[in-house]
Amino acid sequence: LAKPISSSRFVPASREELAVMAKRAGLDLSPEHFDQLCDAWKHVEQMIARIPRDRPRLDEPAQTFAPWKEGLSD
Amino acid sequence: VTSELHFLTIAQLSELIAAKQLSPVELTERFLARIDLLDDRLHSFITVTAEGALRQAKEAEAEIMAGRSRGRMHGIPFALKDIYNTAGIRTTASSRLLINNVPTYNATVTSRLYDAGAILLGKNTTWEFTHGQPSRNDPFPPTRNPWNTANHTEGSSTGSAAAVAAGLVPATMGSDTGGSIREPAAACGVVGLKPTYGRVSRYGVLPNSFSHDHCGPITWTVEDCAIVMSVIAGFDPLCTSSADVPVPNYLSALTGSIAGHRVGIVRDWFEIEAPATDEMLVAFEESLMILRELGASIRDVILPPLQDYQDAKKTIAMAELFSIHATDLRTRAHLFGDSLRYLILCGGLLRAEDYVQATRWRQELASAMRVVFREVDLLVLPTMSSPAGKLEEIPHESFLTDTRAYTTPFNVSGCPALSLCNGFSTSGMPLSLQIAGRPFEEATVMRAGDAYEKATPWRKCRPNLVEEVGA
Repeated sequence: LAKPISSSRFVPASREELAVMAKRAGLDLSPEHFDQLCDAWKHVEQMIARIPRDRPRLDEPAQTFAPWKEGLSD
Repeated sequence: VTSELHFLTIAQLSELIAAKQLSPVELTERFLARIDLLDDRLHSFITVTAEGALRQAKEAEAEIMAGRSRGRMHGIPFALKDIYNTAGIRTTASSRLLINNVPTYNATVTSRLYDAGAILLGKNTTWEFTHGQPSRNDPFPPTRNPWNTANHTEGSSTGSAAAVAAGLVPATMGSDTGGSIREPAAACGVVGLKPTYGRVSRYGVLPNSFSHDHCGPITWTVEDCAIVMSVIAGFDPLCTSSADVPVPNYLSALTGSIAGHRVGIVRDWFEIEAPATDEMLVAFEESLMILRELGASIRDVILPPLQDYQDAKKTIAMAELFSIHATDLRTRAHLFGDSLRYLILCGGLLRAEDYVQATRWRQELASAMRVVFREVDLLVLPTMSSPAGKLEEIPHESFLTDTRAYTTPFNVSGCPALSLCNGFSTSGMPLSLQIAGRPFEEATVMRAGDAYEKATPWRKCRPNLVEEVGA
């Protein structure tokens, strides 16, 4: 089974780093909404740190492109 | 016809209608009157389509009287979670962003129910875009639980479950991205089915997470659920995730017997990782005894931790959800409810690798479930860890920190899963049982649920709201 990033490699983002990330995402947030983002990100970054990443190269994603499906060709 | 017409099942109502002993117009008027009487307390409807419903009821009645029956849903009222497109009828997703949104076309599910002669009573309350939990600045009040109006209904198909439990409508359509049909169904003591991913069209239904969203029915009994599924299930070329897999006769699958069925129990989930309350566990063990008496064999099975399923799902869903709302978040973020905005802003900060690695993880987690389903026919577990509690504002971060949802693994795997009532707490709130099966084996899941339901007394209990309002 694939393993998550080692906890020793996990470094929480600072508010300054989050401001840069938000700007790159096109989010021009009010101070109140930026505070919300910072608060929520504390939980989200722990969650994404638990995602296994050292996978075999041939491991496929769950969602794949299916061009033969009728809806996609319309 | 009985004075408690509103508490008859679809199976019973359709027999009366077919025998011309019950008028669809009379039935529709009865439900509209009941909504008028009780929904000020429940807030289960955002929009009531009384005029259109009566028009549809008159059309249904004329056809039936002329001998042109369209089947079991002909003349039966239903309601839709307010994310299903309804041409000419506003569809708000309980959001200020769509407060005046009037679609120009119907969702496929809407069309299929109309084509079956069913009568739309209105649109049910939901958490904002099926994701944000109740916030102070929501445009509509939160739905209250018919079993105790001081309590919440879980979500996000809040109004859909409450309306069925209260006898305001016999069938509703919900949606389920991580448990949003099954949890409110459990909280309100009704039946909710999340079908297999791809079994019921998502076309024309506002999305939460494209790859986890499922449309499914909420009803009072499993038999009624099978009747609705018979209308809505099946391939839809307009839906990109629709599966071209034959639909069996769901009603004939309800044989009352589960002899020979192998049932798996993932005890680690609800006894160790996220322990259910004692009342839930006692009711669960009693349910297992019933299933054994009905002929099933029971064995414990092992699956990856609940948190793995939660982490994979939430990472994927957060990225998909952000992509859906990115433009609004960049231009008018103030119009979102506090809860939804809190939960989706972070999606913009995820990296492409996070999303793709989570989908690769999802494949692994779904595969683990497929392996278990080689050894058993069904998985059975509680739907929720505890009965519904008081309706109060909860911290926004709870969605991100709470890993107790026993429902999410079946969104990740896409397997069908059914919630039904398996008793009541000492405070009178419904307890719940969840039955899951292999992909496209809704019939097996419903057969087990129906057999359990018919062997137990829980369908005889209804909330008594009329006494509560003093009517």
